[in-house]
Amino acid sequence: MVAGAEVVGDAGGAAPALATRGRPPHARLWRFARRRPLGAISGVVSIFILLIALGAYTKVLLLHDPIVTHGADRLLPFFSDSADGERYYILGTDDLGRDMFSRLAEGAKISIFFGMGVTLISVTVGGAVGLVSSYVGGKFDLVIQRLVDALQTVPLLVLAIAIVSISGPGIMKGFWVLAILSIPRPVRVIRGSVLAVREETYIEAARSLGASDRRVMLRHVLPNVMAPMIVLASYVLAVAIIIEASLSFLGVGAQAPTPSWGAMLSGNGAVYFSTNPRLALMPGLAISLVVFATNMFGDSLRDELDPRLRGSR
Amino acid sequence: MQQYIIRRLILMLPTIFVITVFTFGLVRVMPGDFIMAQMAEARGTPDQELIDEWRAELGLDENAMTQYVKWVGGVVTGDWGLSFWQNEPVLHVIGRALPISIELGMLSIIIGILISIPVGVISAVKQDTWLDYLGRGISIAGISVPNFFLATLFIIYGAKWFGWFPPQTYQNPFDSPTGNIQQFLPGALVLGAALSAQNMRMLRTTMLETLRADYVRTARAKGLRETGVIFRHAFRNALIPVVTLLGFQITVAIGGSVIVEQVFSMNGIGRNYIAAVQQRDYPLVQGILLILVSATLITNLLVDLSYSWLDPRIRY
Repeated sequence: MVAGAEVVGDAGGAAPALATRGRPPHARLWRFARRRPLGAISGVVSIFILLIALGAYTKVLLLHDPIVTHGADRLLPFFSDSADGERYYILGTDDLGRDMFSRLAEGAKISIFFGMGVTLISVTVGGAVGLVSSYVGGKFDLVIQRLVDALQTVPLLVLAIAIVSISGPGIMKGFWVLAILSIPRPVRVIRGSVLAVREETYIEAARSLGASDRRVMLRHVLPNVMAPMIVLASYVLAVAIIIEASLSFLGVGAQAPTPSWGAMLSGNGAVYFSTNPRLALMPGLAISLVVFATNMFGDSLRDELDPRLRGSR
Repeated sequence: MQQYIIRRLILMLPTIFVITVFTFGLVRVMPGDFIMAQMAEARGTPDQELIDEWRAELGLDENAMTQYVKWVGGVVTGDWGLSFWQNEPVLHVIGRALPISIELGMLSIIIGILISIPVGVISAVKQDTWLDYLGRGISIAGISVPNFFLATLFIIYGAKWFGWFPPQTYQNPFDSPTGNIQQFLPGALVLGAALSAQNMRMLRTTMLETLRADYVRTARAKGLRETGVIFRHAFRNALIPVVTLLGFQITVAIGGSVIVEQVFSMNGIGRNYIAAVQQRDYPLVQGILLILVSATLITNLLVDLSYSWLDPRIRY
């Protein structure tokens, strides 16, 4: 979370000077929390949801099997016992008698891992491509930018639907499709920063001292373009989660009985809404909460790291 | 300026070419083609001769390259092919669906602008106060709530509390304005909420930057009233990135409309697209993608041209 602050302090010259430089990490965290309470709360909520996802992954939080159906336990309300008295359902059951809590936890795992995976791949690959391409410039840069432009002309969801229909529906295919389709945006974002940093005096100084291109890129340019990339990562994460939910909602993402939040919202959730709104409300609110937390956190991070946007003191 | 426009229009062609080849290959790589999809619904074993005949009729028996060349030739002369599934010329299908999507898109963008401008300006001017947090909270909620969730809630609570159901058949705005609004407003609100959220955040960021600029400080020093400073000076300059965003929002509106049209049963481009993809209706899929890509490219050009109007320093 404070990676931006640490690496930025390294570059010297025109690097944005954070007042928190030189202080120990826990002091910086505390300062961030005090100045941006909503951002800090969102960060905590995000970590909390991540823990839930990990809990589902390690099966610790899966109180009951999210997939096995129990005909006798259909549509039970919160805090109820199963018909045979052997299970306790914290959040009730759905129309096929499956434990809602476990299904939601499993859905968290799917959304978070999907989102984080897509973000990791697209931001690192896109960032690397963008960094090299913008720094080097020339024909190489031109070609890359044309490709990136072409990829960005079609709306993400539209293209994802078409491609996923080819390869067949399913979560893993959707994952790779989205990871690749999310690469253009980081390329664009890092390009803006690199083009600005490239003209700085300290870069010129480094080169005149004989630093190789690679060293200049990694040691001087990269640390100074990290801040927008970190903020972008939170945005990419939010978009990835929503698109995964949308694909599942449309039936081309996670397939039944896999409990993706989007899928839970479309099928049974909608049908049973009048009598049991919680079937659809819970996954819907879960998606909203996760996306809200990541967006808010990214926003606050950007406000903190970008010195031009600080409020007047 | 004219040279610039012409150059841009010419540069659009390679992009369109890449996209058309890409989508052309895409739909044909899909397992099973249109005929198999239709046969899957029929009972009994299909007659191979019938299949071959059908294939020849639809032009699917030639190799991909020939098909592509034929299709491009058709597009340029105004014949976009026949939709396999709807058995109508693609242009007719698109012609029916496009006005619906355009109206939905325009309404969404207008709603987005109406909400985002006051909220964004207030949020920037009163940074870090509770008003700012409220504005940012609302706008982020607007992006966070998935549009299919919001749309589903609309339909369910609309039915539950108001006994309202989305009208099934398209209401022409000239024949029945109220019916038309009734049909489009929920979808436009859902999409507009998300769009306004993006606008608001961008506007807030750019306003914050411009409000700290030297010329603003000069204006204040000259004794200009704060509202004058905000609207006559800061706001106009803050608009440039927002206009870029507005341009992108056309694309976003289209992508989002896919889901909204599905949920509200509106017969627009998005809904036709999903159905066409599922049916392997190649001509329709290609036609729709071509329209989408062209619309995006033209919008980008218009956005770029508007920069020189907004900021006289920018000249092409």
